Amino acid sequence: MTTESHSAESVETAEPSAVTTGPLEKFVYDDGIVRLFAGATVIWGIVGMLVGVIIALQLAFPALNLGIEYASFGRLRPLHTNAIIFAFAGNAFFTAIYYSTQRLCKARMFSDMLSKLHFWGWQAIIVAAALTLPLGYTQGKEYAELEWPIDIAIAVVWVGFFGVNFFGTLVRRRERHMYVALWFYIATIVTVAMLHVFNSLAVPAGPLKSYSVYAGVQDALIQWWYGHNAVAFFLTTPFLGLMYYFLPKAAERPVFSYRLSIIHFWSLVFIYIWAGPHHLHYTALAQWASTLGMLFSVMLWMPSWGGMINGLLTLRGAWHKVTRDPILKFFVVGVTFYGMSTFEGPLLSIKSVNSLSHYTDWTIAHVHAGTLGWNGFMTFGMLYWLLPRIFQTKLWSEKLCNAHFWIGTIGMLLYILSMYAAGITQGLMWRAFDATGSLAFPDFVETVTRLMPLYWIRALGGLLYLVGAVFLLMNFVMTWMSRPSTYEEVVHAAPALTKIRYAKSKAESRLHANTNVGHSGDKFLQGKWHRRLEGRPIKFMILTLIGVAIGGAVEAIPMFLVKSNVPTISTVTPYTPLELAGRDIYIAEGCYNCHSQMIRPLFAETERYGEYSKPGEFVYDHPFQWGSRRIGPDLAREGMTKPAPDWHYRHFKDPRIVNTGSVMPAYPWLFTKKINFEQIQTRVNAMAMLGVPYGEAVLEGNAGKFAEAQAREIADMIETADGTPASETWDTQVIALIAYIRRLGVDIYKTPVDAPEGGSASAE
Amino acid sequence: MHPRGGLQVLSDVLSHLRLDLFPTVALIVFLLVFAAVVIRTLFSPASEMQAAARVPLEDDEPPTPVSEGT
Repeated sequence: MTTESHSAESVETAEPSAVTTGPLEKFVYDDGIVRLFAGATVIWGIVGMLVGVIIALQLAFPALNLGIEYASFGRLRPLHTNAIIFAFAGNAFFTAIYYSTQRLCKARMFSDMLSKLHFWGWQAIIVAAALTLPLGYTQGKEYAELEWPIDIAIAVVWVGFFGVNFFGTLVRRRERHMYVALWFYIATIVTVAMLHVFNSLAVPAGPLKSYSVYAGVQDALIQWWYGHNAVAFFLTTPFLGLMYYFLPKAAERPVFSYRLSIIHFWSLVFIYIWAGPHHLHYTALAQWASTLGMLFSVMLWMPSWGGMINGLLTLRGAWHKVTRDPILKFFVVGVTFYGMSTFEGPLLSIKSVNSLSHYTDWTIAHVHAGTLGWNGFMTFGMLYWLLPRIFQTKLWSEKLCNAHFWIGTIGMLLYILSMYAAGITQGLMWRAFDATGSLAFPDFVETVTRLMPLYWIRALGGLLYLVGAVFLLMNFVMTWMSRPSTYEEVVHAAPALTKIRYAKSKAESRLHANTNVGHSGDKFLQGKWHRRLEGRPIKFMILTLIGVAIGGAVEAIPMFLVKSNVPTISTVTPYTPLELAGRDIYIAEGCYNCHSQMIRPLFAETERYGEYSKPGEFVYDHPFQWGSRRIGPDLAREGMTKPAPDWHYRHFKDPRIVNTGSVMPAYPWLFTKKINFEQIQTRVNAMAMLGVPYGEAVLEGNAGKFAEAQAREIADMIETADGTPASETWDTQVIALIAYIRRLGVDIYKTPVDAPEGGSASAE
Repeated sequence: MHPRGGLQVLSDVLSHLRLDLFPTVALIVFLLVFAAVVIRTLFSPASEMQAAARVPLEDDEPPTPVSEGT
């Protein structure tokens, strides 16, 4: 399958290493695929950033969605995150991997066909995401929103095309030592595959609808095991591989300490995978899992800074170049932001800090320091370094490149600093009490309006960063236009690797007059076992997979199987068919992007929202909807605090009728779109397949019938309250959504069926 | 009998096992393996490390083109 050229016009011979004695082989690198991924990176980056600026402006000016359902914040925010993570960052590190792997392995990619299938398959997935997310097709799990057919496509493209192509190249390489960048790529490929498969397990309930096989606490644990490690193995490890290859290339000197890079790698593989539960501090997750996540997060600080220092010190003796080379400027700021983010991450994982920062814009500042600073700037540095090489011409404008650096840096700082201020303001206002012991800001909207100036500054910062990316696009296009009519294909040559018979080359102790332990120790320190591992990519891959799998398994298995982790509550029952339909609308509209459903056992929260959330309340929540942010208030007890359906009816029509400072968009389409009563049966049956006890509702036709009856009941209540005729409203989607909202958090207050009168529900 | 049926029965059984030792045992194994990697890395011959570090600089790239600086 490999396209190896033997028509040598110019042959550049690689230095044969001491252990490679095979015949000299000629080959040509496939830079066409690098050009494709580089172009996709720039285009999708601008799309993702543009959507980010639009939703930033919507928070400052809610009517900006123009009443169009496809442009509402809840639907566009997942589009922004998916576009930036999977389209921009994904294509960026594919660019890095396809360029550097070939050179580090002294081999063309294993299969040109697989390279093309990977590229076009991945772009098709991005287009599918860009179409389905605004249309409201989502699984409702952050960064894992895409529905099941797209999930299957991701698995096929990632493992079948990308993974096979990459490991095939490693197997056919002509460089004995696998450079550390390749290790980071290996960890990326195996871990992302594992995370994606386990987090996406779902029961389909239609062509573009499914329910997570996990529920409540367990779904939360798996989701944040995935979510955190998506950051680790999609936004960190591949970019570290990028750093370890492109930074030495740009600085024209080797990495400061290769030893440190090895320790950096194994530390991240061993530690990162355990840290996910720090996203769930003070929630209904078991304490031990949360504490474990915190401890491993704090442990991450040291290897991360080791990596940052290794990157920065690679520039030793070359700092004078940084002042005039914009590429090195991008890399220096990128690596510095890696250090800042990986210091801040462990800080935020400490429970006491997290109690202030969680659900606030502090998290938004943190993730944007990582994405804008680390991922963005490393990508820009790499692209500017690559452009002259892949297009075989000079960079069109170094001045524009410099301008991109400065406008990007200013934009990024405006964004991050404003969000720090917003996050800390929010957190402090939420927990503030006055002299009488009451909440100082009992009306949530007070904490929203206070942030408006900061939201405008954030939008400006994002806009400047986007302008910088447009400068890159201009430079990209103009450089591409000055490319030669045909690209020169340099033919390289390197000796093939010969097999090493490890069994015949066992290490011999170099010691004399020592004990057996001493001899064994000396053999160990000679490190043949590790070199053997480095020389065998498939074994390396399997051991890395085992390493990361254990970290997840030790948290997930006890959580799934030990009963005490999720105590059940006798009065908690499944959602009615109409409430389930309403929940599906809640998910489709992306309400979880702004509202949490998790009251933490903190005094300020129980004062504001009511009784703290219990794990047993979520046993039928496929998927969980705890959220990670409070742009609006928590809704976990909304059914208790706002039971009146007419209030919600008016609120969804125009939130500013009932709350003048609200930044929530209006939902006019929910008042015209009809509930699909026939479809509800399929949804109920899918939930029943997951073990939700739906009783008679699973009998054909019953689910729709039950839903209609409840819908008419709610519509009648609204008619009684404000005169809106029930005949006009009962079958509209807003009625289903109101049914769901009114159910939130009420079950624990019900009286158990077999309890004595006056008794209350209790955890078993 | 819990409505979740089989899984809940399994969880009753497993609740009586000492599964809470899982993270501790795994942590110790991890630390030992990690310590082995660190020791091996620190004691690796300098020549070997330097040769490995130079791998990306030996891939026959043409010299960096100079920008026209438009």
